[in-house]
Amino acid sequence: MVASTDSPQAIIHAEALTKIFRDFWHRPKVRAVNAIAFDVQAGEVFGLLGPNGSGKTTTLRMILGLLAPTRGTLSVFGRSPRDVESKARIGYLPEESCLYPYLTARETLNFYGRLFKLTRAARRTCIDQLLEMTGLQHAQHRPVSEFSKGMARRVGLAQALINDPDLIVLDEPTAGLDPIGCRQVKDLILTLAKRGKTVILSSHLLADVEHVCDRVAIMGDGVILVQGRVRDLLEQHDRCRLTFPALAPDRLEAVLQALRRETGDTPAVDHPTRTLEQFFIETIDQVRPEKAAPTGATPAEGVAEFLAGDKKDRGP
Amino acid sequence: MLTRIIAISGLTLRTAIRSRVFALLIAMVVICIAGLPLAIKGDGTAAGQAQLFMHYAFGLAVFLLSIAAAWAAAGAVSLEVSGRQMHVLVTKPVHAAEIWLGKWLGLMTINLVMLGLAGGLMYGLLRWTTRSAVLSAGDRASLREEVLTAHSLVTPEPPAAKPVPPGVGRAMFVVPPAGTQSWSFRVPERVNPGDAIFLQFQFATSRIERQMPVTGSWLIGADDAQPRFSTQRSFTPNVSHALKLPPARPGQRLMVTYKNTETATPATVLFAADAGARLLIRESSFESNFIRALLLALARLAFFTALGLTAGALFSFPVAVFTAFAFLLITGLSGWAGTESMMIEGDLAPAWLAHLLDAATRGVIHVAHGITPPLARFEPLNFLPVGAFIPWTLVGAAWGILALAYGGGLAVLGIWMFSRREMGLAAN
Repeated sequence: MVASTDSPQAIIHAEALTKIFRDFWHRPKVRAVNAIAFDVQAGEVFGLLGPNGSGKTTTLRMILGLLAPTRGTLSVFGRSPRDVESKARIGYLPEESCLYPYLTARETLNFYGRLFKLTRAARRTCIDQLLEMTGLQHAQHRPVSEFSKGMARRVGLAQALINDPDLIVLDEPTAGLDPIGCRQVKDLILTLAKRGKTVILSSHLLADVEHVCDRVAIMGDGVILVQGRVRDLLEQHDRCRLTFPALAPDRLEAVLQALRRETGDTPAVDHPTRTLEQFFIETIDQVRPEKAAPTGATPAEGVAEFLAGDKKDRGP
Repeated sequence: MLTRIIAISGLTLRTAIRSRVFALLIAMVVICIAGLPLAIKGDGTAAGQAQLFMHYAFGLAVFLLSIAAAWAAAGAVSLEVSGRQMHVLVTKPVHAAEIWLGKWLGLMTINLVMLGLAGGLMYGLLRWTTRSAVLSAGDRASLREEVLTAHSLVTPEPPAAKPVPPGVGRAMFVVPPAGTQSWSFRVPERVNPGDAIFLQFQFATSRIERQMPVTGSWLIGADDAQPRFSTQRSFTPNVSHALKLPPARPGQRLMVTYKNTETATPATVLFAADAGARLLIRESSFESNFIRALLLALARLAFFTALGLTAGALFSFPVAVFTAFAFLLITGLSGWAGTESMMIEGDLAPAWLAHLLDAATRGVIHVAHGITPPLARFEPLNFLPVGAFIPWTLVGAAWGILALAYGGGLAVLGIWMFSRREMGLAAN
């Protein structure tokens, strides 16, 4: 367990947080989360990592007030996670897209918009922008029960953002999305972070977390094994890497000899590679059709205006 | 708060309308009501046919809608918990009370629409099957006076002779062979001079055979001392009878005399002191009574919906449905057992065993009555098919007791438990 670094600016503050699931007779069955402590500061992207069953989702559900801690303290915006008013500042994307099957995408977003008391005009603007952002304009009048998993995921993401939340909780946000969708989600998280939003996400896709998170906590068996800034955790301070244009073999050999003299070690040389995700997106971009596909989510660019810019007239 | 409640009720309504269950329910109600006239056979009279149709059509429609209301309400919350839509909903700034009330309002809108549809269909069929092309003018007039009306009961003025006090049952007027019993009625001022007035009576006999007819004569006189009506014939005991009397003036006193003229198999006739003989006077139109009957039924649906919602807020869908239906069963059985306890008292021997069983049964019924709502008191079938007037006070009492008191109590319990319920457990 790593001690919490208490801070007055902490959006989420957890201390000795424990969750024990009990059976029908109230006997302890599973200790899903065991005395963990962490803070999430305003404006940071915080990742919860860990294998299946490590306690990530249980922790997120306690933060959202879905589950009550068995022991310990947990506050969100300085209040109980079950406080209804503070939920107006939270957006949540669950692990599975739990949508109302008989509603269309637009109706779904309209329903959630009404819960936040957005005016009709504000709802229309937000919904249009979110549908454009998620590439679902052409499917906005179809029941979500007809959607693929990826499309349903996009609707789920849109509903999590309809209130332009200050704290966004994302449980496996890229699950079910294609690489382009994954990239968009990551870009969105970075955009939201630039606007000072706080994002907490859980994932077991480490590459996703590495790209977007400022800090991470790695959980295992209900405890936090390690937490800290991503760069601090990953950087190897006793090693250096140089990147320079390709050289002729004789000039490269001269450079390597100089390095061997300085370090007393044999430096490794290879060509840097793009990630598979970068390569995939570049390939798809070359053949991307101008017209929207008749089914599925269409490729979309950027993020919704109301999420990228300042808050405007959005109702009471 | 209202915005969110309306949003949630709109969602509930939309979800219900788009589900196949809703279409199936409409089809079942339409088929049951529209098919009934083909299936039922009355006593051959238009009035009997209309009474039977109303009894079965209204009863069946309300039964189906009650089951559907409790079922849909039990699933409205519990299925959203198991389907995890509720996990997202409760992370929004929504109070548990807003969720409960929004669901209740949405379901009540569906109940209102379904009851309106069933009521409209019943009324239309009733009018269609009793139109002038089908029935004679006399039959239609009789139907309007006896069934398609709203009668209220006028009880007699306090009698000169005291009834036999309740020893083993109700207080009775005892009429031995060749004996007489008289009642005096004051015709209420609100009666229209042209309206038909009926004498409704029911009696028991000292015979073992409960249904063996007894010959008797009825003589009706007025305070002007002129005999107005008399008849002598056989009447079946333990069955409600109605004799049409000539119109009477408002405020007029009617003297009603029964004479026991049975000579073939002499028997003593017993009239219950409180309900042995009463006058029926027209109180309102059938249409307004029909609307009040629908409102009584809607009050029941309001309670069933609250029951289902609270059960769904506490339990998973199968357990919620079981709980709601078990409660309804107990409510129904407590009313039925009340009748049975009277039979135990009268039929069983030895007496000490009958008294013991009766005391035990009464104890159980007393407890059951304490926790279950008085549904039988607000049963529309007790009024509408027999043309009995449903006062607005009864409608108000039904809404006050069933919807507000019992429904409100269930709402408080359901909201409190739901606000404490954990989501995202392995079980849900």
